[in-house]
Amino acid sequence: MLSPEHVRVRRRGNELVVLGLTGELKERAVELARDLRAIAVEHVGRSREELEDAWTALEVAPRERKIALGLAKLLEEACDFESGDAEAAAGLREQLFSLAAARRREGEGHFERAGVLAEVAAQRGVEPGELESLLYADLRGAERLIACRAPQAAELVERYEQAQVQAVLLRALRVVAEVRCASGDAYRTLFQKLKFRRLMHRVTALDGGGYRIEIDGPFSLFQGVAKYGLELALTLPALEACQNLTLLADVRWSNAGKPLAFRHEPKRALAAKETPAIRDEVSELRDAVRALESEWSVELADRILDLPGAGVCAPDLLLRRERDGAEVLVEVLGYWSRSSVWRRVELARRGLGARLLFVVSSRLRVSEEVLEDADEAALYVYKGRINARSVVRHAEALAGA
Amino acid sequence: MITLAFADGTLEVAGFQPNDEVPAECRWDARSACHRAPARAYADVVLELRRRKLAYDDRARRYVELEPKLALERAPRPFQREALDAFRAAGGRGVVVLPTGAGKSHVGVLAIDDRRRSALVVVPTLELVRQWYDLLRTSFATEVGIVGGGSHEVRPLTVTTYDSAYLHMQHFGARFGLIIFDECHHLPGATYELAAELCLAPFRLGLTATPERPDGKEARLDTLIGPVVYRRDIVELAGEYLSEYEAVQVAIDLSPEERVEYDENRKIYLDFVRAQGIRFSKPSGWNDFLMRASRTPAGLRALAAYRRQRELALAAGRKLEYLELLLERHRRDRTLIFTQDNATAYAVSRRFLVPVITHQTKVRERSEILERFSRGDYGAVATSKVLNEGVDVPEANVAVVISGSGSVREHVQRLGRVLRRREGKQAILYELVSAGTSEAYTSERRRAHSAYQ
Repeated sequence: MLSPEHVRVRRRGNELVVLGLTGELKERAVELARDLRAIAVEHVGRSREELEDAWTALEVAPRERKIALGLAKLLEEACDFESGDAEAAAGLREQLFSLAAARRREGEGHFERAGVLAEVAAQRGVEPGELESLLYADLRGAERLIACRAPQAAELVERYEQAQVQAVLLRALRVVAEVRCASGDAYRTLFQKLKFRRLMHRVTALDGGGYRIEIDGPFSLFQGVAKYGLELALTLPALEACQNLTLLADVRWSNAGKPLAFRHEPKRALAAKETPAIRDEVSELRDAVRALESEWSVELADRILDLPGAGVCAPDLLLRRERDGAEVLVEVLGYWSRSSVWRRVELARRGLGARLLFVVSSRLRVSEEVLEDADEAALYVYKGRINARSVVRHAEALAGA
Repeated sequence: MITLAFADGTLEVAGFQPNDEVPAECRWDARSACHRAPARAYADVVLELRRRKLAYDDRARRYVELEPKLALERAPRPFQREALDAFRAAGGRGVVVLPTGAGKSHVGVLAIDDRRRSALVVVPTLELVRQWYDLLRTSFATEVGIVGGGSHEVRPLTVTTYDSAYLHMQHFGARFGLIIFDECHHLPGATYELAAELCLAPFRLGLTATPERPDGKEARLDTLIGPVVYRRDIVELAGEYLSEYEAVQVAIDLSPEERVEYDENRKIYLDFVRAQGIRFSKPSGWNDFLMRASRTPAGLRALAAYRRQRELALAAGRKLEYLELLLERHRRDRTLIFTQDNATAYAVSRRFLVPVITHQTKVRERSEILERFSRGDYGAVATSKVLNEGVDVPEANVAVVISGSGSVREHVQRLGRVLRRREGKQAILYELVSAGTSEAYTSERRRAHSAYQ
């Protein structure tokens, strides 16, 4: 993660703006990345301090300084260092300092540093000068660079641009993400990430489709705190994997002053946006329902059902009956864990406000009777392969005549 | 039925409707469809539910009654007993202010024995973690947990750092009935104070020699821990409970070469500041300088010049020559040498062949250095800031401050390192200040305490 000293930002009124890399500056950033990387590669076998000195000596214009520092930080994270022998260095220090203390106590005049060094060097059979270099060979600056695994310059600059946004989010008090995902899987992944990071959310449907998700932590109810900043920053890749994302954040950029507003809309299309990842069993079920040519149409679902305090359900498919427009959402749980099924059962019993069919493998040993008494939810337990006709039959039962 | 649950450093209060009258600090949380309060409010919430005779299921509290009793009985000094009584009279919530060396930790041990609840001690440095760990183990003859410095073991008696408490309190904040904040002046602030907010311990003790902070945030301690319940000053205890001491300021001239270089660099720096109209009297003055300095080549030169002139003042060559004289004069004493930065501390170590303790020194080597220093095998130890609040060596009787910040607290704490009482001990603190430099002003600021009057 980058720190504020690595990030190019500008304050515009109450807004914090990350300065992107474009045109000449981007070309220059790639050049810098190339030079810094080359220095790192050249310094394999030498100390961290020498590497840092060489990086510092690279001439950069004032406006390139933060870029150079940030790229060096990312490069450093991609380098492997080896520590010196800490025990040997500590042993030498103990021997040398004990003798020096004794000589100082005994002596009545000037302390003879060279004499102490010579005495210890003689005991160890080395030159006194060698002792000087071994004395603190275990410090961080003395660590030896053994490998540089950094990507090529252009990729490094891309990483720097994403790392800049993450560095801002490290100081975020809360994030509001307006997202639209192409599939239930994408929404599910996003909410799993939020849950894994122990973040809390509030979901509101947007008029034109998609959702507004306010994300912060439990204590944020009382006070805007940057404690959840790391979790928010680590959630960025999951948010960027959505088909559309507008991210707004309140950021405490400096210790003094009010939080600033930060806005992020990723420009480049991620691979995930072009072809949303759909599990095979979901696409197979969709195609099979279409092939039935029944009065039920089917499409990928892009909605989420949020039950505050209980959880979120992100269905995979939306079945719609032509005759009356009745809708049934389908979530394919397949071979997932029994506990995930029980969580859905609990949600369904509390009432999700939509008709839902959970498709579960018989290997999970769950009976369809579990949800028999629920008005708007049902379980379809299949053996072997999912049967599209059975799915439609369950949908009919849920939608009524 | 009302249900209380500890949830990531907060208290979930389920069972009330959104518009019901709820205990103070509880708020409706639409995200989880229940009320929520900071974990700190646990005791007040429980007392309020009891007062209203409302039945509740407490699933939040996970702390236990402490089984081990005080195994090492040490008669408290009168002021330590008074401090404990004041803490008890305040309902087990409050701050005790005692000078360094007066035995604040023992007040903490007495408070743990008095409350008899699982207790967490939060300290600023790993050195203090080690000291409290040893103290609690010997005092209660039981295993003690450590969270921080690579360890993560939570036990009914646990010691942790402020950094680790901030990071992990949301996970273990329900497991302690008493929380002790050692050097509690560190607590107020955007990050560390969450360690107090996310913990549900009903009993809270703060220990410090100097609660006052330059930003005035010590007022937050009232909410986070409790009010100051007991206070004794350094001059009240000197002689009887602390060593007699002398504080000597030594003016050191820069060498002619250093003086020329200092003046040149200071001029570059000040010319830039004046040309930019930067005013350091404003709170934002320093940030303003850093921001403007980073924008132009002239600014970067001014920043480099600022650093160089400061380096020359803080680590003037003649300071080290004078240190040589002091080490000779006190060759049979135990001397602590303080510097502002690690580079100078290591330079002192190399030049005088004395051990150094910085944040890079591993815990085991630290312990060995301090043990040898205590035994007298080492006559001097150099350090930057890590020992400001964390060395407990009664034998130490000489402190040499080669350089430091303008912080009164830091300077008082450094003096406190040599004040622990021993029969016949006369402590002395030397402060080496480069004459005719900005350091003289820094020194003036840090000596604004009764201990130096």
